[in-house]
This record gives sequence, C-alpha cells and structure tokens, in this order.
Amino acid sequence: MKNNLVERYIYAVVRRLPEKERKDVSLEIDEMISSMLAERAGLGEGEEERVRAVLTELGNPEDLARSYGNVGRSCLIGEPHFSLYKRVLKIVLIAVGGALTFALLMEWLSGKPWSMYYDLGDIISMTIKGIVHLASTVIDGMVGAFTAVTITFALLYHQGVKMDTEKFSLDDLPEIPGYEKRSGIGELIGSLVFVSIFTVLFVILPQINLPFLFVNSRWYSYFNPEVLVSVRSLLIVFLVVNLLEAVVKMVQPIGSVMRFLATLLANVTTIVTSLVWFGNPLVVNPEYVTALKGTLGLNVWRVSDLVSEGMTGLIGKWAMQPMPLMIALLIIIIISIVEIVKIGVKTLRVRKTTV
Amino acid sequence: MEEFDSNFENVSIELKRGLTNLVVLSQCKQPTYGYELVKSLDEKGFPLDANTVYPLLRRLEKQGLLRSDWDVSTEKPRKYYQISAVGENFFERLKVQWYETIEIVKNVIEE
Repeated sequence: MKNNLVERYIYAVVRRLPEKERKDVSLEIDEMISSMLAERAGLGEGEEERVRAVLTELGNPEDLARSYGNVGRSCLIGEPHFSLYKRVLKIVLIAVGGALTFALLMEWLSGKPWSMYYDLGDIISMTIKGIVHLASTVIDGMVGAFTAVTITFALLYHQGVKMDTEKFSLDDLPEIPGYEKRSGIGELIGSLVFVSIFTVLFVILPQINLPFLFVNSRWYSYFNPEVLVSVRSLLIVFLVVNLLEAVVKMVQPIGSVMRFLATLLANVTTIVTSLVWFGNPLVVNPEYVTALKGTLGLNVWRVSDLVSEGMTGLIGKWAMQPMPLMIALLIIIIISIVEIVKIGVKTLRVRKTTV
Repeated sequence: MEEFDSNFENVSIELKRGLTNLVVLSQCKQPTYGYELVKSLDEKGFPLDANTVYPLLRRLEKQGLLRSDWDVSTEKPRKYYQISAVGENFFERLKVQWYETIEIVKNVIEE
C-alpha cells in the first residue's frame, strides 16, 4: 500500500483536474514522487521524514494542479474558494437553522396553552401543523442563506479574488473519499442491538410487539400479531440482510462494489418489508382499535381522514391505512432511497479518483 | 540590496522560463522519462524542478510536440516521452529563432 500522505497529495492534485486526465496524471505524479524518494534514499532519513521532505519540495498541490493546466473556471465555485465556501456554508446553515428553530419553538410554546386542547386528535393536529410550519420556515430560511452564500462565493471565484493559498501544510491534505472509510465496531454493535430488539418484539413475541395502550389494567399492542406471523419470513430476511450489511460495512471500504450491493440489497429489502407489512389492511391490532374506541372514543387516524374524497379514490387501499404508519413508511422509503443514491454516488466518485 | 537580489532573481527566472520548452524539446530526441530529464538537466547546469518538468512534458505532448509510451515492465510504471515529427520541426524553428535572438540582443546590448 502506498504511503497515505503520498496518496492524499496525489488526490489533492488530481481532484482539480478533468476526470479523463486524473488516472494518467496520478500515475505520473506517483512515479515522480517515487523517483524523488529513491533519490533521497541514501540520506539516512526515516520513511515518513523522506516523504514529507519530498512532498514539501513539490509544494502546494493546488499550484501543481494549476501547472497541469485545465484548471479552468468551468464550475460554479472551484478551489481554493470551494474549501472555504463549504466551511462558511456549514456555519451559516447551522446558525440560520438553529436560530429559526429556536425562535419558532419559543413562539409556539408561548401560544395557546396545551390544556386548552381537549382531545388527542386536536393535539396531534396542532403538533403536525406546528412541525410543518417549523419545517417550511426553517427550509425557507436555509434556502435563502444557501443562495446568498453560494452567489457570494461564485462571484469571488469568477472574479478571481485571491485566497490565501500560500500556507500549505501536509497535514491539511484532503482525505481521499472512501479511503479506509470502513465502519467501526460501534456501528456493528448498534445493528446487533437493533436486530435483537426487533427479533424479540416482532418475530419471537409478535403477540406483545409494541404495547401502546394501557386500558383496564391491560396493555394493547399496536400491531396485529397475526399479520406479524404472516410476514415472519420476510422479517427474518430483512434482519439477516441488515446484519449482513453491517458486517460488509466493517470489512469493505466505501467505493467497493460489494459495499454498494450490500447497501442496495439492505435498503430494497427494507422498502419491500415495510410496504408488505404496513400495507396490510389488518396491520393494526383489532383489539387495540376496539379498546381505543371503547375507552377513549377515538378512531384510528387513517389516511382517508386527512385527504379529500377524490384523492382517496386515487390512492386506493392505502387510504384506509393508519396515518402514522404511512408517514413512517414514507420516511423509510425516502431514507432508503437517499442512502442508496448517497452510497452509489460515493462509490462512483471513489472509483474515479483512486487509481 | 535584498530587493535588488529578489528583483534579479525574478527577472532571471523569467528569462529561463522562456527557454524551458526549447531546452526540454532538445533533450527528448531519445525516449526519456520525467525524473531522468530533471537529473540530466541539473547535471548540464539548467536545473528545473520536477513539478515544472512533469506538467511541461504533458503540455508539450498535448500540443503534439512530444509523444509518449508507458513502460509497464518495471515495478513502477514510467511514462517515456520522445519528440514527434511535428515537435522536431517546431524545435528546429525555435532553435533558429533563438540563435537569431541571441545575435540581435547581443548587438543591441553591446552597442
């Protein structure tokens, strides 16, 4: 394996070059560094010292990239402005998002007292309205901040405003995407805990699953045990595949095809399992439904309670499904797709940049 | 004095920079790789940094003045550059122009 500092230096140079040239230039710079290292072999320096001396002699990777040419201004924001842009953007987004969230929460909490809402439906409806209002205001604010910061940096970059690139430290070289990015034991333990709890609640003890309502000295579980039994094989596949993904993540770095396939398989299984399970018309425990109606006088909150009649016809059987499960299903599908796309893009990036 | 030295250094580098293409092309009659060229130029009294030579060889190749071949028979693959037919023509014209420039500049500065 090449010295990580050398790889990072090469990456810092070639990442600024057009993709079609990266591999060739990487090999050339690698050969150049090897020759320079060989030249210093007799000086009695240690390996690390020798590498540092050679890379320092080669100078700032940005300057070397510029000597290779083609570091045009074809992108919206390029280096060295892009590194600072990312840092500034992160700070501004956190500041704007945090300040807006805090202000809205304060406004919300100081509004109508909670005791004035008489039933659960009212409280749930107010909570959802509050969350939607909060999310839309925060997103609005963050989009505004993002636009302002991006336009500012794009102008700085295209006007060629100089940034301080004189200072160059080998320790500041960028990490290669995906290099050694295997997950730690913590993530595997997390997965094991999740799989264990899930197995106990939904596979081994389906009659208990999620105790949700305590009425007349008895707990009522939210999910229908019969449905859980009918989808048991699918749940087991889901658990095995997710455990497998956690193991693959530990042994394969980002960029490996196997890691991508494991992520793809785990997320597709998650989507299919959620669709089959939450899409079952009898997903909610009938005893829970009866207890809810009998003691609190409440019905299960279904999608059809929220959407118009025309829409109900359009979404067919999904209209009768419980609203919280449909929100959960939507979130699961979005997160799974985002995860697949994220790892897919990272895999492509790593495969293009590493030689 | 420090400013004088620094100005002199800058002008001297500028003067040399204009000649690097001519010098590098002259050294590529036989297949040669980047670091070999760096060392040979150093020995001949025209030192150029590796981070100047490698990108320059690549630029000259892009301009069609050099052609290249990867030698993958060794442990570390090496890219060998050699002057192309167009490059030879270019080099000859540049050489003639360089000699003419020397004559002209000599006459001018020694008037």
